[in-house]
Amino acid sequence: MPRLLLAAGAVVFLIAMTGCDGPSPHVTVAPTPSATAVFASDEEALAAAEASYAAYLAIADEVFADGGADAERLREVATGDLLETELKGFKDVTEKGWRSTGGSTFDSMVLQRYDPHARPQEITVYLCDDISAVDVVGPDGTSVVSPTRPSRTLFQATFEYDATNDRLLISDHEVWSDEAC
Amino acid sequence: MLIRACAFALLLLGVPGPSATAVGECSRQLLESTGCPTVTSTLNPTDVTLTGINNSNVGDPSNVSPRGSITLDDCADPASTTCIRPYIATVTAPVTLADIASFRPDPAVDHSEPNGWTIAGLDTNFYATGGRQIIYGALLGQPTAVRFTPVGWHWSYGDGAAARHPFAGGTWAAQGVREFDPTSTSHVYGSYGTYSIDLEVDLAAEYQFAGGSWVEIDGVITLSANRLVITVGDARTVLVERECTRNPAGPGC
Repeated sequence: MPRLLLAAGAVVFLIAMTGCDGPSPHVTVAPTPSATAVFASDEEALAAAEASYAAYLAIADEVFADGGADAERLREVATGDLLETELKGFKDVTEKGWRSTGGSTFDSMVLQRYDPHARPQEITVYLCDDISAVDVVGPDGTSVVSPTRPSRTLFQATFEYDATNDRLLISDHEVWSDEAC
Repeated sequence: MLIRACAFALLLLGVPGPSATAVGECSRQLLESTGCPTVTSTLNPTDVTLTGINNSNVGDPSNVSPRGSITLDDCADPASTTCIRPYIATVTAPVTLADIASFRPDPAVDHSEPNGWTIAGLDTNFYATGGRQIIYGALLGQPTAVRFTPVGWHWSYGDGAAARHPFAGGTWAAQGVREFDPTSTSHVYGSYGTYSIDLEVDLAAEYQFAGGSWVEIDGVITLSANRLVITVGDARTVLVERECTRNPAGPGC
C-alpha cells in the first residue's frame, strides 16, 4: 500500500480542481449499517497493530535464532506477500547456515490509516524497527552483518484482519525512507 | 499523442539533494544482515541518477537501455554466495517525454456558448475545462508521480480560422460579460453553415520520485479534446402575430 496519503491528497486536489459552477445540491448520505467496525477507534486499531507487530518480531527472532527451522510458525502472525518473502528468506538462511542472536524491537508506531468500512479490514502504520541488539552469524560463528547495515529502519506496515480466526496479521511492510528514525 | 519540441519549457533548475526510497521486498534475513534495498535518486535538469542498494530493480537494463548507463559492483553477481556487503547499482539516464508515454492524462473538454448553435456576425464564446493532473506509475522502474499542466490551447474553428491562446477561457458568466460579448477566446463566424471545431491542448510535464522535487521534462505533449459541431444562423427582427411556436402559419413566421 505505498503512498496512500499522497494518493489521497491527489484525489482531494483533483476534486478541488474540478469544482462545478453552480451551487451543489444537498445530498444526505444514509449511514450504512452493514459494515461493523472490528476496532472501535483509531486508538484500538493502533494498539492491535502494536500487539501484532510485537508477535511477528518475536516469532521471526525465534525462527532466525533456530537457523530458519520451522519457519511455518510465521503463519500465526503473517500473511500475504510478507509471509512469502519471509519464508523465502528463512529458506536461504537455512541453506547458508546462518543464525541470529539478540532480539528485535520497535517503537514510535503511528497510525497512517484505518478504515472501519473497508473489507477486509486493514490497518496501515509507520514504525521504527530496531535491530541494534541483533547479530547474525555464519556457520563458523563469525558475524555476517554488513558494516553498513542500518540499525534502525522506518517501515510502513500493513495489517490485515483475519475474521475467521479473529486475529490481526501483518501482510506487507516496506522501507518508507531513509529518514532518521 | 503528439510530441512537440518546446523551446520555452527549458527551465533553469537547481539541483535538488538526493532522496531515497525503497523498492522491493525485504525479509528479516536481508534487513538483519545487509539492510533493506533502497534507491537514492539524484535529479538534474535533464538526467536522473538512481543508486540502488541491494536493489536488483535499479540494475535492470530494461530501465535505461538504450539511452542511459548502468554500473553494478561485484556483489551484484547472483552467483556470488560469499559477498555480504550490500551491492550497489547505479543508473544514469536522461528523462524524456517518451519515458512517460504510459502516463496518460485525460484530455480537456471543449465548450461553446451558445451550445450547438450561434449567430453569424456575433461573438461565439469558446472555452476549455480540465486542469492540472497528477498520475502515478513507474519511471525507470521506480514509483513516480507525473504532473501534467495545460499551457496552450489551439482552436480550429472549422471556417478556416484558427487561434492559439495561452489560456483556456471561461463562461460569459464567469467573466462577468453579457451574452455574445467578445471574450479573450471568442470567435465570430462570418457566414451561415455547420462547422466542426477542434481543440488541441499542450501539456507541460514534470516528474517526481518519492520525496524528491518536481523536475520539468523538456517539451510538451499535445492532446486533442472533443470535437464540437455548431450551426451558424442569422438573427433578424420581424413582427409576428403571436410566438411562432404557437402560430407557425402566422405572418413573419
